[in-house]
Amino acid sequence: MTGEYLFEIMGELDDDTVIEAREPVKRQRSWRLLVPIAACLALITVLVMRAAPPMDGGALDGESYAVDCEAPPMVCVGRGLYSIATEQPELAGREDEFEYLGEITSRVDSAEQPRESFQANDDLIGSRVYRLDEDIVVEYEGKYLLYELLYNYKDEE
Amino acid sequence: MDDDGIIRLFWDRDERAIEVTAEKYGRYCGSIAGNILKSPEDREECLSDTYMRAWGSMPKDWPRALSAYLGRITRNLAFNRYKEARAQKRGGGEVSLVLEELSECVSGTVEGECDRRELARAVNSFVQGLPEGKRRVFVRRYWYADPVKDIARDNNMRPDAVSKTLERIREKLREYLTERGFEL
Repeated sequence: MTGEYLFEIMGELDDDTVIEAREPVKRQRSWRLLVPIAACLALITVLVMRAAPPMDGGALDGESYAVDCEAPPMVCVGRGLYSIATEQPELAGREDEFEYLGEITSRVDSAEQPRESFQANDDLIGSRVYRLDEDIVVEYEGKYLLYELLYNYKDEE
Repeated sequence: MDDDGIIRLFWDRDERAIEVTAEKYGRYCGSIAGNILKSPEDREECLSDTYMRAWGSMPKDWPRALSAYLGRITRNLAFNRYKEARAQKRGGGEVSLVLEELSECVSGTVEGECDRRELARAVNSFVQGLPEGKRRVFVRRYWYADPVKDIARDNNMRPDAVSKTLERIREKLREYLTERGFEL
């Protein structure tokens, strides 16, 4: 059989499959969109609190408010920052698609953003990390959690 | 005009059918022809042939999905032209790369060309079984012959992730067909 023949055979795919492929991708509800919004809101809150006199007359500094603002679970692998996907697909049984990368070795506070490779802002130390296409999968307590690429630190350079 | 209205024009032998089809689907069919044929003249001729083919076939057919119907005609005509051009060593567009990739799934000999309908059914079933995201990527590459960078852009992926995904799906397709007794 030749590649040409297989290409011709592909031409007989169902209409629905053909149409679906060129339809705009529905964007998943994702932390990717919420993180910048949450960050802006936190910043505005801090600025407002710093500008306004405290109601109870006590000391108020912006930092205490910023720390209260929890970030979503994130993991840094290589130069990529990944955030947990809000819609978790079933990943059990797809292990042959995983590429093992290593284990989470350090963590930062849950309000912070991990910046070093194999660092998380959650209790994931020792969890195995795999690549799955452009995303990563973290194995935690026997479950696979999908994290989507949020940001590339190399973009800062 | 909606698709049923366009099909009605074809059935009524109203020549506006071609004008309206070109207006609504010219760009879509043009992109398919463009991925397969390098020469702009060949693409234009292929588009004209598509409308003529639709004109000839429509009184018999009432397509369920006009876009896929026209796209399929364009794809077949463009690929036939590609084969003629290649025989004359004039080459082709993106499809040359697509064919190279597909050649990795098969032996490259003509002896193994098994029952076309059975194979088409098996390939369809394999593609249906893929998760939606992978199916989109696979169909964009091997039905539309779309460039990897365009597929990556439209699916929020990096080009290298698209290439890796395609490589894995090709390998799975090969396994799937081999397990079902197809001689590749």
